Amino acid sequence: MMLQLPIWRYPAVVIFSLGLHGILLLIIFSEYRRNPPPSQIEWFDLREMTLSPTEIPEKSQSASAISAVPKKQEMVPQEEGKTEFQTKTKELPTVIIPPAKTQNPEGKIETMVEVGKTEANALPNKEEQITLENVRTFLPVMIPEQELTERVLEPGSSPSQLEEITIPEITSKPVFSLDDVLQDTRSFRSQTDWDENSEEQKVSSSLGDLLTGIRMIRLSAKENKEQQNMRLDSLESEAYLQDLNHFFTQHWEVPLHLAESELTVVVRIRIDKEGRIQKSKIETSSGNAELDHSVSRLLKNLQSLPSLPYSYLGHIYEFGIKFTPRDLQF
Amino acid sequence: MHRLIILILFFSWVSYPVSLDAGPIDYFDITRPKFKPLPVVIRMNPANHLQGLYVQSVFQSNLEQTLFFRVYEENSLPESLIKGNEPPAFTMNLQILEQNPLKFRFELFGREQETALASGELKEDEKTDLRKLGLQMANTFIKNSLGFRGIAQSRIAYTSQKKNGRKNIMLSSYDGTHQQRFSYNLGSNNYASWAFDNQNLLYTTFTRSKVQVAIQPSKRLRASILSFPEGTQPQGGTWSPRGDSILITLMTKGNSDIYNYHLKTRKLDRIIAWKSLETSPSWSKDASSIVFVSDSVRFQQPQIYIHDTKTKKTRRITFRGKYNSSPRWSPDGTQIIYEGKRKGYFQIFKYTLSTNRHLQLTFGRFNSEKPDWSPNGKQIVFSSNRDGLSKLFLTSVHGGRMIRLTTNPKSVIETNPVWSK
Repeated sequence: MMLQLPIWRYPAVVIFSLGLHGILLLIIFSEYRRNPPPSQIEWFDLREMTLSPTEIPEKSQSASAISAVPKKQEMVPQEEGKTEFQTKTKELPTVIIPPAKTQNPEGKIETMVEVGKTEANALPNKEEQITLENVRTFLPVMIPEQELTERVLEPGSSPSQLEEITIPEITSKPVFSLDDVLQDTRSFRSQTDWDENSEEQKVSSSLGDLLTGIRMIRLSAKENKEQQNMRLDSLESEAYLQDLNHFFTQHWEVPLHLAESELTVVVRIRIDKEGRIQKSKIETSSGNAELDHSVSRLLKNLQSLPSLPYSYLGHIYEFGIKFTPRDLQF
Repeated sequence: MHRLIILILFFSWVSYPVSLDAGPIDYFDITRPKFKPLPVVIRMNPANHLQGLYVQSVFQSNLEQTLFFRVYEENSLPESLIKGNEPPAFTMNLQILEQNPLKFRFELFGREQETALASGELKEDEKTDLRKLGLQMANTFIKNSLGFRGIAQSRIAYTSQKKNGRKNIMLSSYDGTHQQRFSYNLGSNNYASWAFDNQNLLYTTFTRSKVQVAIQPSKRLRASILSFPEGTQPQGGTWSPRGDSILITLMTKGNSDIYNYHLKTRKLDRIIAWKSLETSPSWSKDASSIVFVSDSVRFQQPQIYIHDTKTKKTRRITFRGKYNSSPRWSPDGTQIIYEGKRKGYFQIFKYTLSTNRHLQLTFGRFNSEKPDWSPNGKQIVFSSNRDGLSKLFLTSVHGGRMIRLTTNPKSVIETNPVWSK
């Protein structure tokens, strides 16, 4: 049996239902206001952490890249303030690998630390780290602490001077495999950074950075930059077209009989970043003497155009303008 | 895999700017220039010749009325022209050859040109007074400088009404200096229309008892009256391009429809007979289409339609605004001007058939109504109450400055202007 209600009650039911929904939404909204979801995830970069000598073994336990290393063999005991490793930890792309030690045929281990340089500089660059042979070369054979003695170069000594450490013959096995290192290298973000001391402009090669901040990095040499003409990107181009339109509406004058015509004069202009005209010429004539004259008169009287967008990196900009008197302004 | 993507992106970055350096440049389209009239310098020899000065003043006022030019006498040049920064677009040289009757030679030069664009001799005679010489010179100038027809000798018919007086059809010269009363009957006369050959004018006469349509030769003061069947009331009409018929709006039992009235056979052909009100018909120049107004979609909200007389198809062309009316074909048949109500005021609009683009030509908090084209399609005449009562104004077909046409007293109302063809 269907429920029969007086007709005035239907809107009342709808209004009552809407009211309940509204209250529900208010409750949800107030909860949301009270406990807003985190809008930004806080990321920590290991490069920014300065580890004190006492913290290093503990911290390093949490790093995935060194998880395979036994605790007692992680660090070479060193005096505070004496080693480059301790003072340059911040610069390191990773803290997992102690100063590189290789075993020479005579049973000596050479540490490749130079005075005045960070260990990061001393370490091979990114490509070398993930190359099979190099990694194999630099992977240390773990040395018992008590048997290792190390002498650190003092400032002022020769950069090319190498530490020579006498050690007994090593019989222990490698603690982690090459695959582990490679895998950790891929997953470890800071490992993929470029060397900051490179002469080229720094380019982040992290995939996340590429996708979120896609931007053209110009790698041309400095001396060529002033000679090169670059193009505006779409946003810059749109903004600059607005500026040009506003500018020429004030300055470009044409007689009435050319209004709504499709005649076009094409002009090529070279300006510097401040908009000063360096060179201009009529590239294509319209075939109408009056329109050509109006444009040539305009170019003759002009000394500058609107300055280029701030984001434009070049020093000059060469571009074309098509003058078509389609919409006359009075 | 990530390294591969990184490498691809890296090399694309490196190669992108390098490849553009040798490639094309950016091009920007600038399409909104500022209007500037062409400077014209007129030189007369001798400079203070009285009759020559009169001809020169007629020439100057008619030339500037077009809005295309600004005329300077040689001894009153602006600084920009004197310094030579901007040479005049055209130079007109007048050499007085004879006096009483006046005879002079004119030469028209373009900018920095040594050979004349046009030259000739004009002479005053019984049929051609000094004013006509000036008008002829203005038309010749426009034809040879810009390449289209001069309209200095065209006329504008309009409805004039003095305070508490009857409406009459008046004729005005292009520069507004000469006004002439055209209708002399005892009724109230309105809705004039020029024949395409400019020989006749058609207008509607309202008397206390009936409404009639009068056809009057433009050079005579006697009109012939057209009679229509009883029960029908004519409400204005327009000429067909061939001049053998008129499109007329007839009101029957409260419903107005559009008919074609053949002048020789005196037959009425029904063109548009909808249940709604249809008014303001106008032929295109090639007689293939009729533009008219109908409130068929919504009562008392008229819109503009085009009816193809060959295919018998009708299409609506205005969709914005609740009130669009008074359409008129351009002389070349490519555009239509009309009035539309926007934000409480009537404004003039131009519709281009090829692009379906509507362009507003007038702005402001006053009414601009009843537009009509100039014979060369370069200007528009319309009535506006900008200064209080309705007066006639000219503007270009691109909009812009409004020029007052007539110099009648403030108390005279001027409406419904129609330009000769």
